[in-house]
Amino acid sequence: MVTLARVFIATTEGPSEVQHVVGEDPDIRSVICLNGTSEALPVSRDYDAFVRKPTGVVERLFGHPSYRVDVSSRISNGHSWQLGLLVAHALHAEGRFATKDDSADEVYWVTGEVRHNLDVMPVGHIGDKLRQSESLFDQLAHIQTEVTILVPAANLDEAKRDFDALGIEPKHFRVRSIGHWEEFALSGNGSKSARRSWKKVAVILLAVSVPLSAVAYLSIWHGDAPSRSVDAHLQPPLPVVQKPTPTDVEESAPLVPELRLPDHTAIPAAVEPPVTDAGDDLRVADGSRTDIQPALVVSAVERRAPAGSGCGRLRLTGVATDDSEILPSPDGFEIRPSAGLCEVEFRVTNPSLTPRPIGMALRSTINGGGPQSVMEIVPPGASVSLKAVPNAWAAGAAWKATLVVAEMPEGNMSPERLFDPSEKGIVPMVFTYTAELPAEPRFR
Amino acid sequence: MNNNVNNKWSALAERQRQGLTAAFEALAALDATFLSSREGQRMRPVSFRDLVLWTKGPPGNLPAVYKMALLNDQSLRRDFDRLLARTAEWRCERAAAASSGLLDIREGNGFRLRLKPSKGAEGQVYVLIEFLAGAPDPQPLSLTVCGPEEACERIALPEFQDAVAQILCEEDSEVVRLLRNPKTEIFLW
Repeated sequence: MVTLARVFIATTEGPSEVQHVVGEDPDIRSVICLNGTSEALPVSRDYDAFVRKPTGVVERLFGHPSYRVDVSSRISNGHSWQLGLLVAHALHAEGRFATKDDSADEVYWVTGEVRHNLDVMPVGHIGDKLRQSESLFDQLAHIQTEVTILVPAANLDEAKRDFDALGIEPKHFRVRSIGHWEEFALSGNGSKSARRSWKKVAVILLAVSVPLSAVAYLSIWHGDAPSRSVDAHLQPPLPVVQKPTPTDVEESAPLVPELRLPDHTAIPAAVEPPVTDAGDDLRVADGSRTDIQPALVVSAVERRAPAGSGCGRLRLTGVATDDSEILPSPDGFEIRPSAGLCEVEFRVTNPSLTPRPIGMALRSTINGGGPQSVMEIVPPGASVSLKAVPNAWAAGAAWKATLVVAEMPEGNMSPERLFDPSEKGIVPMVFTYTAELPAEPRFR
Repeated sequence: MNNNVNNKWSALAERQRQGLTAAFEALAALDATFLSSREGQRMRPVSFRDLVLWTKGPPGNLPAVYKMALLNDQSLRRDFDRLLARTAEWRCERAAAASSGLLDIREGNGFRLRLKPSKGAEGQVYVLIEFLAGAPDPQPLSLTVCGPEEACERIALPEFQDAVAQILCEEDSEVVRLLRNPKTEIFLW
């Protein structure tokens, strides 16, 4: 009986599941795409070089020069993804790779760099990567899935120590290392013994447990559940603020919605934001469940190039921007000067003392393509945000954005609910933001 | 927090996209109406300078107000056509009159553009721009495709590798629709 294995690439931002590996026609360059979308990650160029002869090892080992791989989360521009993808290719070649839709018998959590001669080279931030995967490990331990933590030989001691420090029941985990790819290939790469079928079911359940937990959490919050206690594994993890490490974290992508905690822990000051109904401007002092909630705080954080610098240069050199937070009136944001404007981050902050489900959509005349949207259960004092980022070399041109914000009542977290007229209880707030050129051109 | 609830446009189902698109179009229309009716404020007419800025600005489709202006002002339209022709270093003109149906290959002056469906993801297509005599120096940074009814889309080009740039797009995206339309013109600069 063939057993299927799922592969997670360890990153300092959390594990990224390899969802699909598909051969493309040879005239196509290999790409790594995000979650089945047409967004090719910047690391694709390096991946193509890793696949295609003469530089690549994948074609040499498995005979095909072009692949499309989908991953669940962004992976970095470093090289520590190489061993994980090579494991995925090996499993794919053996017919043992578990795609996103397959049930899996075992899991590989992998980090390591692979040289052209197939030596496996050490990587950094093992401890960070393990800590960021703690939630995944907890869930895998709970369903008793066999997990192999595969690291370069030179990282083995560090990996064992840092894994032990997590305090996870080690029964179904093994920390393994290789110094050369052949050690993986010759080892039979994992147990082929048949597993109990319920484990397959459990891995499927794991895949759906997070969305379910979000709904469960939402139900509890809306007072429909009998109590606030739920099984530990169904608790949605709270967002964790992680400072990206410069060596191993991809440059942040401007169009990706991100959940972030504000720098300050205090509840943001009330700023007279537009309210969703007449009672919304009442504040909750004690954090108890109540139907009257403080209004969501909407703001725009403008990031401008300092005098003498441009946005393009700014992004290359990493010089700090001049930031200012703008609050809207009920009519929207006042018209803003576009000169020196490198990006605008639109934020919605939850000012109450309890989590609230917030939906947000943004469309701008920059950032081609469709609107961005995000749905989150936002913890107290935390924000959810979307960014509009003009092209670094053409910043300063006029542009405009429309922002739609609403608190979502109980139900699924689909963004289309924001605009569904049959939805009861959703009152979207609409804000416009306009960045304009100076009245008179600087040059004639 | 669950990442699955973050939705990128390309990850949404068609019905969700249609809902969002309709909602935003309604909002944009309301917005335009609201602005134009504001006392003491009138919308500034689209000028040639705006069109120049669009060609030099970040990639994206031609804003609706610009399209409207091009439809209503033949002189502006002629200027825009000249602007595109002069700005572009490489051009693919409309396909021959005998061409019918949708195209998967466009031949320009010195380059070929091909559209190739992805085997890995249904509904996605690779756009391959290939320079036949080796990569030019400097390389083009953007592709603009303009068609009938003032539709114009501009996308950024990635770095060329071996004289080929590859972009992955949604099959039903505006840029793919325009590239397949034999009545459109393609400009690279």
